[in-house]
Amino acid sequence: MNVASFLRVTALAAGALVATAPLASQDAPPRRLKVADTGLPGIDLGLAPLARLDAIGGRTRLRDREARPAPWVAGRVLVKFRDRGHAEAVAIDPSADAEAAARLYRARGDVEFAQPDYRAHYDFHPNDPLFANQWNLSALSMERAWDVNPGATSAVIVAVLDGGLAYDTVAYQYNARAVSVGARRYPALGRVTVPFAAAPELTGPSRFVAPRDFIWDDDAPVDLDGHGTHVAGTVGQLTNNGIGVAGMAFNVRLMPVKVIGGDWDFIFGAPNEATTSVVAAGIRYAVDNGADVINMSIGFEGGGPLPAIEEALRYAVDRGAFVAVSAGNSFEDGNPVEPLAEIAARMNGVMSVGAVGRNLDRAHYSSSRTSVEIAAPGGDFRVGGDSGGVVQQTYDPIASAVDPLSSPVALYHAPRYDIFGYEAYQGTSMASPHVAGLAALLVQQGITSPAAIEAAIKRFATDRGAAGRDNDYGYGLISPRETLRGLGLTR
Amino acid sequence: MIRRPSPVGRHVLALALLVLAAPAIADAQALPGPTGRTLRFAVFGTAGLFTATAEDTFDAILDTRSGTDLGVGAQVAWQSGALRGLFVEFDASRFEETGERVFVHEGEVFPLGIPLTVSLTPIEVTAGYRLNQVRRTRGGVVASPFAFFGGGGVGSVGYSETDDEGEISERFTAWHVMGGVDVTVWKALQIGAEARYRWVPDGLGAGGVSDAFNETDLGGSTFRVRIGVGF
Repeated sequence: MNVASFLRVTALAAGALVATAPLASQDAPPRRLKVADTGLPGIDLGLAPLARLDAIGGRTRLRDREARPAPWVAGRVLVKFRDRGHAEAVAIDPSADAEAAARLYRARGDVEFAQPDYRAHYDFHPNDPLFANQWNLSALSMERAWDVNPGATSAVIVAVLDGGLAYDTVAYQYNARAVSVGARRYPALGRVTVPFAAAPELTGPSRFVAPRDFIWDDDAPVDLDGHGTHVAGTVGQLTNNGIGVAGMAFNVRLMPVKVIGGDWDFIFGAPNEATTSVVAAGIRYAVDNGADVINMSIGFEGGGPLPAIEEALRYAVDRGAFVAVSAGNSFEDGNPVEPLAEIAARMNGVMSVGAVGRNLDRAHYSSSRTSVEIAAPGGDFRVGGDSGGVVQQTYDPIASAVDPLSSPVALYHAPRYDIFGYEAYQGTSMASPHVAGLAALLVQQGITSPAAIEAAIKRFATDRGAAGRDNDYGYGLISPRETLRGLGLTR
Repeated sequence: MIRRPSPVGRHVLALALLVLAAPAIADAQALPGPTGRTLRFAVFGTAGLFTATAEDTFDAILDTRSGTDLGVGAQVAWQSGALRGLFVEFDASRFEETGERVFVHEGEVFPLGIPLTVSLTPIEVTAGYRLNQVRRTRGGVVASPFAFFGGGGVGSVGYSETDDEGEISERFTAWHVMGGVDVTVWKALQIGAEARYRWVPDGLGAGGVSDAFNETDLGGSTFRVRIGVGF
């Protein structure tokens, strides 16, 4: 989902879709009818992972033929002289055996210890073949963070308040009414059976907790857009499973709470739309059902205060849930006040998250206001094109007919939500789940107070931009490993 | 309202009482030393309890501010002449405890489950006064089994902090006062008790939990028993 698409979703949230009155409304159509649990797995189009696996295999075979490299760096040893405060590198003959050289140094009376300069490696390196495409996780040194905390556990629950989630394999029958957008008239498709599949890179035993749909008023918050599935992937994509991509806190349980409707929810006649009351109810529901962390990659139209949302967020924090919210994507649209971010900025335990691109500079769309508290990768297609986005598994955009009301009428067709791909998105929507994922790791690590989680994330953030807090990056870019490691006695 | 003395005050008070407890100082100085030699040498080992001044800092990391302290030392004391009663002592000790890294927010400590070992290795030199108790009898002078001592000095405290990322170590200058009593239990074998208070200004506070709690002194008090031989 690009910025424009995100903005449109938020426009829907405010019920501000322009000129979309149904032309021929069907009489009292059934909201949606569950046809069957199809039990069919989703189709994973992927990004040619097999070819990438082959390339890795070829490199491995080449190494096997070569002599195994020494476990240390040639040409130096680390020596701690007794009159020095710390060990220092001492040059030796590059062809010399570093172990033997270290032994010679250790035999000297003025040396406290000596050792080769051993190569370090990650204890945890995910085998997901597309992990190399996830610059966002590399930029956060997540491999080193996972050495400290490998993806949390199922004891931690992260609620994703979004447009639903590809969490179930099922088919629903909808009644697609006619819709007009400006001069374009999208015809009624009548009753359509829409297949859904659980995202292969999200689903697992007991993975999903207490699903709830506040748009359709039921317990089936299926995703008719792809945004929520992408966001949930950043939080908890299955990782080290040999396929696809990775997520921040890949062992947590996910709670899909649908509080935003997409185009298809509108076309199918969802009874509710995203409003402050719906979102506030979603926040309370998540907390009451055990969420430790809540991600809200959503925005609100208008700059007015949102006391109902603020009250619900206070409810969440008071009951121990940390909340990450997107800081807003409207920098180039006048950089307006983002009311949800404003609440976050004045409430400990709720953080508003700005976005950076792969060059770690503020993404072109990311709000720059006093409400920005922290920055995380959100992608920026202006920096590196598609590879500058955040890649997670979500619906294939063609099959799912994403953004139907932006497409030509001739190409308008019913969607299906059982075909998946690895899609690059950009937005503060993508940045926020990085912080939610980090918060989940911190909860697992032992920081259980939302205010303490916020303080820790700020305390260890890597300063970017102007020294200290600034409007582009807040307190800086999150530093997961440093945050997870906390404080020693003097360091 | 009852005002409790500060930790520093309590330790200084204890040391003062130990030294003041030495009876008949003037009388004893007039008598010859118990061994009849000018210098008395002793080597000893110590075992005791170190209690850190930086209470919140140590408590956050180690879940205690106290731990075992083990050491060795050697003492030379003048038993006659102008320097009679003075001693110089060298000793080294070690305190080591393992806790875990934490995060601190508004005074609340969140343990993070990452093991962290803290060690202190003071090497100290002390100058002081040793009261070798003797008494007159009809048969001559008899040495008392009790010897009270007190003094102060300077040292260097090695500090190290070791976790999964490796070790950091530093040395800081330290100052201390001490006092105690040795009891000769059998021939040259002595058992004693000692209290020591050490200041290590600015040994803490540059970062980590100590910075969060604004505690800067790496010192503390040690109460320990000494077992040694004197000759």
